[in-house]
Amino acid sequence: MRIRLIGAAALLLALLAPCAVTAEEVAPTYFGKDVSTAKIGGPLHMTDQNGRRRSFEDFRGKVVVIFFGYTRCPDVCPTTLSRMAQVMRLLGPDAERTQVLWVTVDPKRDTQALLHNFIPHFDARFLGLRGTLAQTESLAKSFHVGYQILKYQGTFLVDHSPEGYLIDPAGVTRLKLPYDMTAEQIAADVRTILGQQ
Amino acid sequence: MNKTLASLAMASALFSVTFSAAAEVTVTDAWVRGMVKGQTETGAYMTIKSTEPTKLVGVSSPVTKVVQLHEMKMDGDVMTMRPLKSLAVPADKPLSFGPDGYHIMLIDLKKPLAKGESVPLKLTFRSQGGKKSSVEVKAEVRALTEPSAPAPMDHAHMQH
Ligand SMILES: [Cu+2]
Repeated sequence: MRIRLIGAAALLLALLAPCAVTAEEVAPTYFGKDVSTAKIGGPLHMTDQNGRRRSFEDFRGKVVVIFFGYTRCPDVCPTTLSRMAQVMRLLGPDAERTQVLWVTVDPKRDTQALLHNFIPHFDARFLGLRGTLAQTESLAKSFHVGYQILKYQGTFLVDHSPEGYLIDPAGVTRLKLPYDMTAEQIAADVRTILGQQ
Repeated sequence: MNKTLASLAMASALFSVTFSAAAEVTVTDAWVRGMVKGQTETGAYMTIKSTEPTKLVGVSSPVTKVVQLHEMKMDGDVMTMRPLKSLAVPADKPLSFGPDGYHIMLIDLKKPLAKGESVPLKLTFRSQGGKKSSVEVKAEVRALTEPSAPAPMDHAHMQH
């Protein structure tokens, strides 16, 4: 809503003073939070659900949308992954230039075999990533993603940040995607970023 | 005037006493998220409605011994999941489970629940008067990808 209002104000300004404000000078607006200058996101060294080693360099030329979670997550993670599957459908041909990555924060219990069963259920193109405890910790930290695992009566309670991050085709983390964004809003931001290349 | 109010208050007090003994609790739209091979836990969701304020104090199911009532809550930027001992259900206001709200966690399942199966759940309630009653439902197992219903708008005002 606020973004739309800013957009409307920018448009109004452009109409009122066409000579002063040209289209190029109007900063692009996003539904997500612009974190382009925050230098978020460290290197990725993890294995996907098929056993292939992955790094961010594998996805240059594509927009990467990355989330953190765990497979026993009852609703936040399935909801996020279902929403991203919807984003891929909305993107149509642009989905080919979009890669969804989902990193487990609980590699002890989320085995590669479990990721292999779990991830393609949402979209066969998604990659589920798993690293060592140290790799998981440093990657999450580099994205300011918090998590902790607590043991409780026969189970493990996992807390984690539900938001995602959008990385542009050059490898720069551009947007933070809050949990309450809709599929339409995420798809619009992916298109905006793809359109800048 | 005062007399009328007093008798009204008394009448309504009697009314609630009468009804707390026979509070009617209905559980609708009960479902369980489907699982894939290798998963051992899943969430169950439903809408609970009661004619009187009551409390959900226990859940059991023949599919597993470990059943917990959980609450999801944002703590700063982090989504947390915590066990609850009980959950207050207000009178005449449907309480819907969902993300950033409540769910029942079925833990330590010996085999994954597949879409189309049905899971019996027994919910035990304790009325304000301390009377226990239970409701049995059959929860339908839906797809793993099923989006949870958004939490109700007035979620924040509900008592815990
Ligand atoms: Cu739970």
